[in-house]
This record gives sequence, structure tokens and C-alpha cells, in this order.
Amino acid sequence: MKIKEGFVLRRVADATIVVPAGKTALDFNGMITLNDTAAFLWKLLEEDRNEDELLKAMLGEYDVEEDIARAGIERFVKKLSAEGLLV
Amino acid sequence: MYKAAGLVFGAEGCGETFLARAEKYRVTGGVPEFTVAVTDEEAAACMRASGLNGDLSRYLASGTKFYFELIKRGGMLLHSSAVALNGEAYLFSGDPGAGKSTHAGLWLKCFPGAYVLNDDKPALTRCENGFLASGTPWSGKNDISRNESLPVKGIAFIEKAPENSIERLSPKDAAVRIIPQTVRRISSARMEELLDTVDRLVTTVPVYVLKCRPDEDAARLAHSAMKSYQEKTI
Repeated sequence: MKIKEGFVLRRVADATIVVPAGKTALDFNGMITLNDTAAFLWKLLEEDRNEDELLKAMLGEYDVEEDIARAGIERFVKKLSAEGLLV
Repeated sequence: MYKAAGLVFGAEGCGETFLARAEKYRVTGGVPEFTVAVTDEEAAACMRASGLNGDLSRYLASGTKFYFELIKRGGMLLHSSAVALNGEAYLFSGDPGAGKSTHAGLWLKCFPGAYVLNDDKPALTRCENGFLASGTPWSGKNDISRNESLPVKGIAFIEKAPENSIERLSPKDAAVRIIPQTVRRISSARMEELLDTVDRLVTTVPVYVLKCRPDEDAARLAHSAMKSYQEKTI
């Protein structure tokens, strides 16, 4: 899975903000703010990844138990999918 | 040739409305940094999308092109009514119908010497300590603008409310409100530049939310809160 094309992620004033650019702005009218973990996962998902790859990267980056990390990733992926942001 | 927000530019195919409204921005001599050119195809596409007549479509499309050039040069537009008072600009933004122009009108009534710099889309450009707001030939249906650039003292997002109150926003909350009130449909590269400009804007200019009635008390409250802001480095 992978984030759809056409989104720009940028740090703005201590926040990570994602906005649609170009034609994507017609389909997705709005903006997303991400917390640190979500921004970390979003950046990984700019390229094609599976959940195991995300988990491995997250365990390498954060001091977190595997079960909690896995649940967090599932929640995030579910949300992205519900918003139609994944391909 | 024309000059607005410090940018010298040429214009081609921008239509009669543009020519009339740009008259006070006309300059002679100098080399244009860019040309705002609207082709027949672009005018036709704008006509289809907006439902406006040919001339107003050219005017609208020319504004889009100008503000696009502005983003490339580290500036941006903010949908807002900009009031000038004592050499400084106060910007009132918010969703359509929130009462931006109404609130600006109250300032004109309350504070002698106040006038509207741009009633719809002031251009914001970087200066040493923050941002300048400028009138442009693109200033809303009533064409209220002045060919001037003034330092931005503050930005207030207006919301209708039964009681008047004003509150400073954190830079993050300010960014979340500002982004929807600026250009949306641009390439990823331009969007990155625009977000960097928003980042600088919210960290150098105080941004407020003004919940208010359409009355003079609201104007006095906003003025006293916004004018007293001082950035001190000790």
C-alpha cells in the first residue's frame, strides 16, 4: 500500500501538515494535521510498504512495545483507507 | 507595465476590467519581472468553470496568474479585508459570510484616518521583521484597493457570535486557519513554497480569532487588542 499521489507534507509552526496539491485539491478539499508518529508513517507510505515493513521501521525509531506499535499502525492505516488516501 | 506588491509586471489579454482596475498601478520605465498573460484558451476554460462573462473571466484568470508568481517569490494572498490605520495593516479573514468587509467597515466608522487597503485579496510579501500587505488590482467585486504596501500588524479570523471576544491563536492553530484562505490548486513544488511562507507568517505576525457582533464595540475591542501587540527581545 501507498499514499495517493498529489499530497504535500510540510512542517509548519511545530505541526506536520498535509495539503493536497494540483488536481488532488479538487478531490480532497481540506488539510490533515499529523502527530509525530503519523508523520513518520506517512513519509514511509510515500513509497509502497506493507504493514510488516512499517512495524519494523517503527520499532527501530521508537521505544515502543510491538503489540502497541502494531495496533497503532493498524489504526492509522484504517484511517487513511477510510479517507481514501491509499492506493 | 504595472507595479503591485513590489513586483513590476506586464499584462497581456487580461481584459477591460483589469485595465480599469490596474490603472492606479501603472508605471513607466523599468524591466518587468514577469508578464501576466491570459490566452484565449485559458479565458474560455475560466468562463466554463466560473460562469462569468469573457471579460471577467480574463480578469479572474489574470489574478490567479499574478498570485502564482507571488508564491514563487516568497509571497502569498490571504482572502481577507485589509484595513490601514496609522501606517499599519490589520487583516480580517474568515469564511465567506463571516463578516470580513462588515468588520472592516466598522473600523472606518470608529477610527478617523482608517481606510481599506484591499477588500478581498491583499498580497502579502516578506519584509525584514514580518510581512507587508499590499493593494492589488484584484480586490473583490467592489474594487476597493490602494496602491500601497504597509506592515501587517495582525490578522484576525472573524466568527459571528452573540458576545464580542478576541483571543490569540497558537502558530499551529493560525496555520490551520490560514491555509484554507489562500491558494489551493497549485503544483506540489509551489505548495511547498507556499507552506514555507505560511510558516514564516504565523511565526512573525500575531493571529487572533475575533468572535463578534457586527457592532462598533467589536471594532474597538479588536483594535485595542491588536494595536498593543509588541515583540520584545530581551
